Amino acid sequence: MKHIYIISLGGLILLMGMFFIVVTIQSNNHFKFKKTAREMLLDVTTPDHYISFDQVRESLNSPGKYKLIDLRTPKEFVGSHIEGAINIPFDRILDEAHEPIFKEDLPKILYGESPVTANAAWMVLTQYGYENLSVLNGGISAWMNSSKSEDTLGNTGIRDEISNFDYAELLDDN
Amino acid sequence: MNTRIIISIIMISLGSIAAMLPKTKNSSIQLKADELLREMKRQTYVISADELADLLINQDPSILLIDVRDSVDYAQYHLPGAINIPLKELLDPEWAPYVDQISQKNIFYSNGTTLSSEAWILTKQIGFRNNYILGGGLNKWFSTIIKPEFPATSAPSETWALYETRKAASQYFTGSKAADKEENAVILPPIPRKKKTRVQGGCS
Repeated sequence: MKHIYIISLGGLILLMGMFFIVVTIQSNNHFKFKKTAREMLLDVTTPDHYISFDQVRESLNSPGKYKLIDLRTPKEFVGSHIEGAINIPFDRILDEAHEPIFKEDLPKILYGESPVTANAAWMVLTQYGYENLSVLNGGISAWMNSSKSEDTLGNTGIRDEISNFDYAELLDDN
Repeated sequence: MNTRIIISIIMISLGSIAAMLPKTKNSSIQLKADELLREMKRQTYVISADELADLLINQDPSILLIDVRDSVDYAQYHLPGAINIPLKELLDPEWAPYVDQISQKNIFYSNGTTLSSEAWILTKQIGFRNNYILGGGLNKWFSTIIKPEFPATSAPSETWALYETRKAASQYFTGSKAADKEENAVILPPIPRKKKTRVQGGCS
């Protein structure tokens, strides 16, 4: 008789444990990535998510084509930003408050002090399942300094990856 | 008899727990978006050019430089001792022993910081550890170490001291010593595969 009591109690505890485990797994899915690392690798190695300064400049003349998102701090944003941009600081991109903005169909362009930050944000958001996102091919300071049109961007097509030196030649000189 | 019943109840319960676990699309994804974002914010994975120069000059055996540019760029120039894993091939199984290990520090680098960051983010989210990046990439390496900027005469003494260190490092990397080392094809030590950490020491 006593054994049956112990067994049923144990069974009950296990059932509760099962329920708890399932519930926690379900609730933790919120920030789960929708893309695998391998799918993402394919995306980053075909960098067609970069958008050139020229394309953005053209779009400034016809507002409503893109939404520009500035990833710097509010203080930096107030200092200066690209016309028409809105401010979502890098560490706040996953906040619920910004969800409607990222869910909009309108193409969005991310930029920051450095294009590396913008690209990192792009990777997180894209894997998280948001679409229609591009990255400005260059940081805000490069944007402010460049009035001329696009120069050659090397074999990667990414401004940050242009080599500023001819490394091999430079070493021969020394 | 009773122990058998208890054991079978436990087994059945464990089995049903396993059956109730949701199937994941790819079990390799371990970090979630918010965790990854937090990791990126901390910036602890960035190694500066000065730090790297120090590590290389002291011939720190615990680091492995990984050039994530394509093989053409790598053939033109690469840092001493670096191996080439083009970003495209990063997750190929053949590189797993290099990228997914616990015995040494991997330092990814490219011309800038974009490709290396991408490599870091991808490996980080799968749960690989010990990966770092060279902040500013080769461009920064050349502008600070190989061709350090001559400070203004009015610069504080720390700036001058830093310049002297960099100039000495530059000579180390561009002088005959470095050239000789580059001639002898770099033979990499065997990279141990990931294994469970065992307690060190004790009687043997």
